[in-house]
Parts: sequence; structure tokens; C-alpha cells
Amino acid sequence: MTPNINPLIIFIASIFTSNMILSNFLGMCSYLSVSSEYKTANGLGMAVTLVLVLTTAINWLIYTYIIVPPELYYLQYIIFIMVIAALVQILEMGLDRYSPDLHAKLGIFLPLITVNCAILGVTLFMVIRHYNFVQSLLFGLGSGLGWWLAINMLAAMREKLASAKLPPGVKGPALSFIITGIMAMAFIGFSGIFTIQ
Amino acid sequence: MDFQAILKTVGILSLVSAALSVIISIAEGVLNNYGIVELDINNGKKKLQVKGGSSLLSTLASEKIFIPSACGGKATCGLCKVSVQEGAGPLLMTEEPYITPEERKQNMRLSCQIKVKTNMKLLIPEALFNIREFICELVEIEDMTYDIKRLRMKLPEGQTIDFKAGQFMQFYTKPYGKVKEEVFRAYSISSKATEKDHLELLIRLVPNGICTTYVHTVLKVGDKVRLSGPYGDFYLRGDCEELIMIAGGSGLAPIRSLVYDVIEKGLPHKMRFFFGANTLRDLYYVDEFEQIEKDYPQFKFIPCLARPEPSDNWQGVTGFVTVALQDQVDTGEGKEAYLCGSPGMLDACIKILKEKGFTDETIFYDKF
Amino acid sequence: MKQNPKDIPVVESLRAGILTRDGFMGEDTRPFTQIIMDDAALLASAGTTPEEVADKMTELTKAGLTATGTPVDYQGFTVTVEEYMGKLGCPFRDHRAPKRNTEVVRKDGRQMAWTDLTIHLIKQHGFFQGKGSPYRLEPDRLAAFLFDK
Repeated sequence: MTPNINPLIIFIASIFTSNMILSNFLGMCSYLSVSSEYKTANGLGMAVTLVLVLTTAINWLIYTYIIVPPELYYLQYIIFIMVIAALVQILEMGLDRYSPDLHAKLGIFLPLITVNCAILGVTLFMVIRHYNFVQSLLFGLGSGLGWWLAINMLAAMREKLASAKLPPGVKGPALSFIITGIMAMAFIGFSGIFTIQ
Repeated sequence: MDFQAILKTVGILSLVSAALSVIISIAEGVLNNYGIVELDINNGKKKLQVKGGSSLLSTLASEKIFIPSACGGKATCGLCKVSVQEGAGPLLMTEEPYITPEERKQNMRLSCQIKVKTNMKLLIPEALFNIREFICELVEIEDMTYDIKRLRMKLPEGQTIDFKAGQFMQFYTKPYGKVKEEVFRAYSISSKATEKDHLELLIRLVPNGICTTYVHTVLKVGDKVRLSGPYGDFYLRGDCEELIMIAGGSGLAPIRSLVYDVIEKGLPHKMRFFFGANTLRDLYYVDEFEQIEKDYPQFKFIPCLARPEPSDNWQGVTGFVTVALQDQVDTGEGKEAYLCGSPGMLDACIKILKEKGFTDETIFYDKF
Repeated sequence: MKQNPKDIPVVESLRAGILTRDGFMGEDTRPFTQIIMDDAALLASAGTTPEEVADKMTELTKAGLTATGTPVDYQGFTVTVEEYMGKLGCPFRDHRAPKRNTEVVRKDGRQMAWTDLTIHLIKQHGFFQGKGSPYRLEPDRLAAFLFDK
């Protein structure tokens, strides 16, 4: 069942060839709305990566040991979402306690992550593709880093372009979509390296 | 779907959600419970045992220590600064705009932003321990000019206030109209410091002002008003021979209190009070100050009108208060200056005073 | 599109009765980020930038400050500045502006009024406030007023 792919290849592929944003178009809402400033985009990227790694690991365990044995596959969505929400909440409390600085930086973004579709998307991909634990973990990490990379690139460009003279109709969300589209096309260039589905 | 499957579904779902809620509540109990922590204030002078988990500002307020603040914990005013020597953690993003590099060295922090998590060592000016809250009754409200009202409030029976002439109070409005939350603003006390069971404030209507509109249109005699104070380090130093007092508009309030303070204490200082206004209708308390002038030769009242109407029949100084200062004050030697008024007037006057030889140590004004 | 969580405290502060009596939004139902974008386009079509506009406004207010409370003639404008005590926090929490009202009349009778906070909001945040707010300035009209276009 488990595909015979080197976890490291999954890791690199999930950053470049099947990037969550640029080839799967998942997690677009926070990607678009929190990318006007590089600093905050970076914070959100970091938070998403952290949550992605943790949720894929925990959801893999829950899926394998709680959902698969009684064959209750239709419950996976609700359980995955509950796990994500609970995890984000605990993470927020833990950060506040042990790393107040990071909490201050990410604090406001953490709740937003709960409803980020990239998080659920990664978990579901992992299930559909029958990854084993190590593969899932690296897939989660890679997807997070890919998402982080994409939002950082968009934010950096939006910051640069904020002061540029542009036709009024292009400014704002339109520009973000154009940039994202061009980035996505550029990322197609990576697809020659290898593909994972 | 057979009965067994439903049972399994419900069972697994409840199991997972129960497990998750148990984990969350355990996490909350462990991670969010900071237990009882100790606040050490001014190197052991005061030690408070408090429950951790809330902001320093509200924790101190619940211990009856009121740190001045103008925004109520929203991190927009930057006034609630407290020197935290230990236990505050790194500077937060929300604090950065308000803490200057110099204040950073003194470990100044915004008390509304930092959470009490561990034992803390704080430095709080002694004067702040005197700050209390009063629910007063409004006994008089009077028009002093077309846009300035005098409020006289009676403290609750048996309570008194100790303040230094020149200090200010925070005045809390009740929700009205579109204003759904309590807001507060700072106003200087205009009554005598020896009168300990009443307080008077002078409040000028600010166009679209949130608190002044409340005072000018909603408030009426008999209403209860909440005040806290006294705050501020604008009070008499008196290390000189003459006091130069300068005010405009409702800035007269603390000066009136200061003048009475000098007189009632029988201090020897000469006083000159320059009061700037536009036209005659902006002047008030003139009779009272002229009477003091007659009774106490040490005091001189110099009202200045910037553009008196012909109908005002004005005999006094015409021009901005800065002009009168330039003409009538020769040197800063042996003098202290007390200023209260709008920022533009303060800037202009301070510039002239500095040219005359006044220094930052001999010029006093409120920075709010 | 989801709201940027950083904007939540700003939206809160823009409401009536939080920082000012009438707030900054008036009857405008657009999100403030949308107002900023729409106004930026309006201003750009008038051929100027928020910095230019704000700098001119500051210049006029400074001119009026030379004689607070009295009308000052300055480059074809008549400027009257009125000051009040205290400061007003910016809803974007990066500034505290003195409470200072500037009223400007042009020879042809057109007039406009603003506060120091209005200038800060335009210069730093490109925010001209919501329609119906007491200090809303229409960007195109403001540009025409200031630069006589």
C-alpha cells in the first residue's frame, strides 16, 4: 500500500514541484490577506510550518490507530479538524508560557491557522497517498516550508510594489493574483525534477 | 447503516472529543496557571502576593495601585509605563513604538501589555500609591465661557483627597449615544488643595470630543461621576523667587490651584500669571484674580487678548501671550515657569523662555 | 477574503466611541482596507500622492500655528488653527497626535478642515476615513483644493 518513495524526495517535491499554494492552490485566503507585510507573512509562514508538522504527525497516528481499525473513514474529516483546532489552542498556550516573544509575534495568526485549508489538505493528501509515518512527517514539513516560501515571496514582492506606480485597476488583490499566477508558472519549471502525483 | 455502526461512530467521536477536551483542560491547567506570584515593588518596600495570568496593569489595579493610562489597555496611549527590573520577558511588538531607547535601558515596559507570569521586581514612583478611585456627586455645573464649564464634585461622605496643587484627575464617562464603552480623559484640578472633600475641574468643549461632549451635553447636577487620581508631577517646586505662570483656555485650572496654594501656605514667592485668550468672551475668573491681585501684592494677573473685538473695549495687553512674555520677563534667573495650555502655545512659550535663560529644570508643564 | 488578524484591533479602534466620539468610518460599510485602496486610486487619478497631500496640509497647519486661533493668510489660503489640550491616539497605534483643528478657506470660497490626526492617517496609512465620518476628505477634491487643479 505505502508507495515506495524516498521520504527525502517527498520532502523536496512538496516544497517545489507540488507546492501547496503554487500547484495545489490550498491555503489561499491567509496567503492573500496576510501578505502585505514581509514581517508578518514570515511569522505566519513559520506558524503554519510548525502546525503542519505537528498535525500531520498526530493525525497520522490517529488515522492509523483509531480510524482505520473500525473502518470509520467517513469520520476522518471531523476528527482531523478537531485535532487541528485543539492542537492550535494548546500550542498557543504553550508558546505564551515558554516563548512569549514568539507568541507575541505569532499570537494573532495562530487562530487563523485552524481554518487554513493547507493544513487539512496536507493531512488528507497523506491519507489518500497512503504515506507511512516518516513520509508523512517529511511531507508535512516540506509542505509547510513550501507554503512559507510562497507567502514570503509574495509578501516581499508586494512590499516592493507598494510604492510602484501602477494602473489603479491592477493595484491590490488583482496584483496579488497576477504575481501568484506568474510564480505558479515559474514553479512548473521544477516539475521536470520529479513528481509525486 | 446498522445499529452497531452508529454505536461505533458515536463512541469513537465522543472518545476523541473527550480525549481532546481533557488534553486541552490539562494543558490549560498546566500552561495557563501561573499560581500565586510575588510582586516586589521598590526593592522590597511593598510585597504583593497576586494570582498570575493577567496583565500587570489590571493586576496592579486590583491591588489598588493605579498606573496612569489613557486607553484602557489597548496599547494606543503608551502612558502606563512601569519600570520592571525582573520577570517581564522580552519587549513585545506592541510595546516597541512607545519605548524609547533610553527607557529601554531603564527597563520601562507597558504594563497593559505584559502578563504577570513569574515573580516580578517593579519600580513604581511613591506618588502613585496615593492614587485612589472616587465616586463623586456632581453638585455644580456652570458655564465659565461659551465653551468652558466648571464642574464641582463632592467626594463620598467621609472620604478625602490629598493632592498637590497642579495635579490632574482622570474622569470616566458613562456610555452615551454612539459611545458604548466607558472612556476616560485627564483634567487638571482647579480647586484649592486645602479643600479636601470637593474637587473642581474646568472642561473645554472639544469639537467631536468624546468626553467633553459628554460633560457639556449629558452630565447634570446630581449625577454620579467616577474619578481617579491624583496624577502628575506638575506641582510647585518653589526653589526660586518668582513664579511665571502661563495658561490658555482651560489651562487656567491647575494655575488657579497653584496660586491659592502659594497664598494659603503663606509662601513668599512673587507670581505673575499670563493668561492668553482670543477675545474678551474667552476670559473668565477675571474678577477673582483681580481680587487676589488687590489682596496679595505678590500676585500679578496679566490677561492677553490676541484679537480683541472693538466692542470689547480692551485696555490690557493686546497680542499673543508670547509677546507679553517677550516684553515683560527679562531673565530666567531666580524664576520657575509653570505652563498649561495647548501644545502649540506651550512650544512657542518654551522657546521664548529658553532664550531668556530658563532651563528644562525650571520649566514645568503637563505632557498629556 | 479573510481578515488579516492584525487588522482586528484597528477595526475596533475605528468604531465610534472608542478613540473619538464619531469614529472614523461614518456610514461606510466597506472594510477600511478597501477604502484605502479605492481612495488611493482616486488620488492617483488626481495625479498626486498621499505624501504630497499630507505635506501640503502640514505646511498649511504650520502656517496657521504662527497665530493660533486667528486667521492667517498664506499663499492664497486663509488658515485658522484651533488647539485643544491633550492628544489623540491613532487607530493604527503608531502615533499620538495633538488635538488640533485646521480650517482652510480659499479665495474662491471653497473650504476644508482637518485635524493633525487626519494628516497622520493620510500620510502614514493612506486612510481618508469612511464616507460620513466628520473628518472624511474626498481625495480628489482635497487634491484639487490644495494644488488648485
